[in-house]
Amino acid sequence: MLLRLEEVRKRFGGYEAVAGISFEVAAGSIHSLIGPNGAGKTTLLNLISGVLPPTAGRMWFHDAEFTGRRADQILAMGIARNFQHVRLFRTLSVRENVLVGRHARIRGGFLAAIFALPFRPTTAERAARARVDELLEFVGLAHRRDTRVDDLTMVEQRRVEIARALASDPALLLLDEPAAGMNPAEVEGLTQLMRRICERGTTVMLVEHHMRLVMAVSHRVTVLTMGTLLAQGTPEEIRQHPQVISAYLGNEGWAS
Amino acid sequence: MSYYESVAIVLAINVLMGISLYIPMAAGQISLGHAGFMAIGAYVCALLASQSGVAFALALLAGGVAAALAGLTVGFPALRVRGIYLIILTMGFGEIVRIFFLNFEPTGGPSGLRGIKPLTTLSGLVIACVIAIGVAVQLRRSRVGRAMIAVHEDEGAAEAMGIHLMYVKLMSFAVGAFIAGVAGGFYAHYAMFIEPAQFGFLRSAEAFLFVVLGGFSTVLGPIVGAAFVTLLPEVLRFIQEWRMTFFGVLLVAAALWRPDGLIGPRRLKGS
Repeated sequence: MLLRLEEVRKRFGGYEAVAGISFEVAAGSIHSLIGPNGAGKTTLLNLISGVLPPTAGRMWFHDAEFTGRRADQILAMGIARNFQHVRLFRTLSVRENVLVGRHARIRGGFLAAIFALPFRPTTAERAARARVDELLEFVGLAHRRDTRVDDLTMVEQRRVEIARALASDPALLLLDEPAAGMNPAEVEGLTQLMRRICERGTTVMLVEHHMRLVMAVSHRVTVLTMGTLLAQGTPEEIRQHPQVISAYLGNEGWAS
Repeated sequence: MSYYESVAIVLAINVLMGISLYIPMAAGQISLGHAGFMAIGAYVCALLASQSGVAFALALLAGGVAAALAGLTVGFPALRVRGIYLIILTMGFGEIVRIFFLNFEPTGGPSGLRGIKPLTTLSGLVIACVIAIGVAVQLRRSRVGRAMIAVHEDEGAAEAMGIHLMYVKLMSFAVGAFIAGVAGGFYAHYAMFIEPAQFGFLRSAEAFLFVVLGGFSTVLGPIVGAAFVTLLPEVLRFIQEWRMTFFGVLLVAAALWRPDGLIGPRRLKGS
């Protein structure tokens, strides 16, 4: 198993956003996490990526426990993420943003930077730029390389976030609602992109409300409700799961 | 020493101070205690070069290293606070250093340190400024430079992108403090007399002004800011006692019309 969670909990004051969740993500799959608002999906992503520390429970990646590690250490292990509300570095260009994502895979600290040869990027820096340019090609933003991210459309910004996450060569990519605010054609583009990411060998864990996208792209779906696991299975099984149907009854997001 | 030469020396020292604050500020680490680092560099350098006969260049480096070590010490508690609290913390540090030297008899206490040799030359300062600008530019173009901007803009996202926040913050503080320490060494050997009162809050605020007025999107900002604040009162000598008032009005105008600094955010082109 690529990722394994055991009885993970997160409490905010008196409110338990994640109330003991255990599940596994298989390598090479696209694994979706769905559930109504407040089910704890985003909190769970924050726990896995180390943005928030869990209150209790344990987590393993490639059979190595990483509970309690810092976010930067978790990224270096090979778990990268985007953010539901885009959090790009807005004064930097598209390419520089993605280069920041490559940070963990480039060497060199302050002293190395100060004493480097001037006016000439280091070999590591040039290799990183080449890799970043290739990723921008991959997400279809090569033509926007030198644009400030502020000047991009929201959909383009979401793609930059995906490229930035991919720049660390992650084994697991966590995507938090990447389709929010996209029109059907853009969602179709995102579906293709996620399939290609999976084909390149990166496992994807997707949190998404867009049911058509989830059903089209997922190998496995986990349903959360009120911080607990409600159901798990293939998209077909989930679609017919009685508890899932009743939990979602009246929720228009389920209507596909 | 001619009038123009001494103005140029003060300008160069101020440019060093501006760059020394620009580096941590580029990583989002605001400091209003930079005079403390300057004081440490000034005293260490003066003791070594003027009292112990160490070569001036070596004494300058030693002053810088002492200030950088102090920077690391302040940096640790500073990791826990942000924004306005970081300002208060660094202000407190500046005061601690000043009061330390006020009570420290071996360096003369309140009566200061006399008999410092006039070793500061304009050419030496120009070399130091070129090196400091080089350091700032090299950092900006590097992996850590991007990390500093990322930390400045969004710490949480930066950490999630693999950036070790503690390392970036501490090192940017230490590099900035090093440059402030060197500036202090030059200052001591220009003024030939140092006392704790010279390194009070006003001097920290002045360095802050260089960076905020000039803008901290590029290293050119603090340089322009330092030049503006140093030279304008000289140019305005003809309006005599009204010159600081006029200067204050200009600062208010700059804050209103150029809130990002005289040198605004860079226009992107390649990188």
